[in-house]
Amino acid sequence: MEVNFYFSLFFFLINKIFRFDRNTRINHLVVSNNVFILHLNDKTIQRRCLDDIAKDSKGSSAFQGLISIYLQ
Amino acid sequence: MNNYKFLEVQMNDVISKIFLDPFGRLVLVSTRDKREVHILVSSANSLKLNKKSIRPNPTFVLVSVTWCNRFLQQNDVVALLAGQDGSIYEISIRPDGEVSPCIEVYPSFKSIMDTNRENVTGIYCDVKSAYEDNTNIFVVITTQK
Repeated sequence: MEVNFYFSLFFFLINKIFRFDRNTRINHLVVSNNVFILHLNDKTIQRRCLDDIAKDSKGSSAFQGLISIYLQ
Repeated sequence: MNNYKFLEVQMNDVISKIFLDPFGRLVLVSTRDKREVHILVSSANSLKLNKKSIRPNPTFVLVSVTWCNRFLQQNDVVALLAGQDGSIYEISIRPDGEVSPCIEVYPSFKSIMDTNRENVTGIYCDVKSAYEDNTNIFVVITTQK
């Protein structure tokens, strides 16, 4: 139960930080070395990086900080 | 919404599982219907799909991957691929995504696991290196039953 809560929270944060489209479904996420590989919808693999958020002025640095803490 | 264009690859089959190596450079993707395993090479400015799929044997269904590189001093990435039937294959992947032929390792596992065939859910590998010339590899397999 507790694991599920933290898992849901993590995906909530990922959604907030990366700002997915409403129709996008995140199936799975793997993270290594600051690289996020996401399985979206059925057949899509997407690569994201926390550094990308800096390039997107709408990204939230607060959420980026939280994700960094979570991953450490 | 985001204006930033993220690197993306569309697979030709529904994705079943994805595995990322510890350096974030190589991605293994297994597909649900064709039961293929593909390699993607990931870098800061590209995400490239290697069209040639990995198929150790015609009935192989990937359940788990263990990356062994932290134990080895080389550029190629070495991984253990575990199949649903308990077969374990070792592959060596070059930084450009090209793969050397798969070698089946620890075949004795299959005979031990006869009662759990088709039920393998995971494989975990670790190495105990007490001395340079005496390295022990531990492989743990989990099953559904």
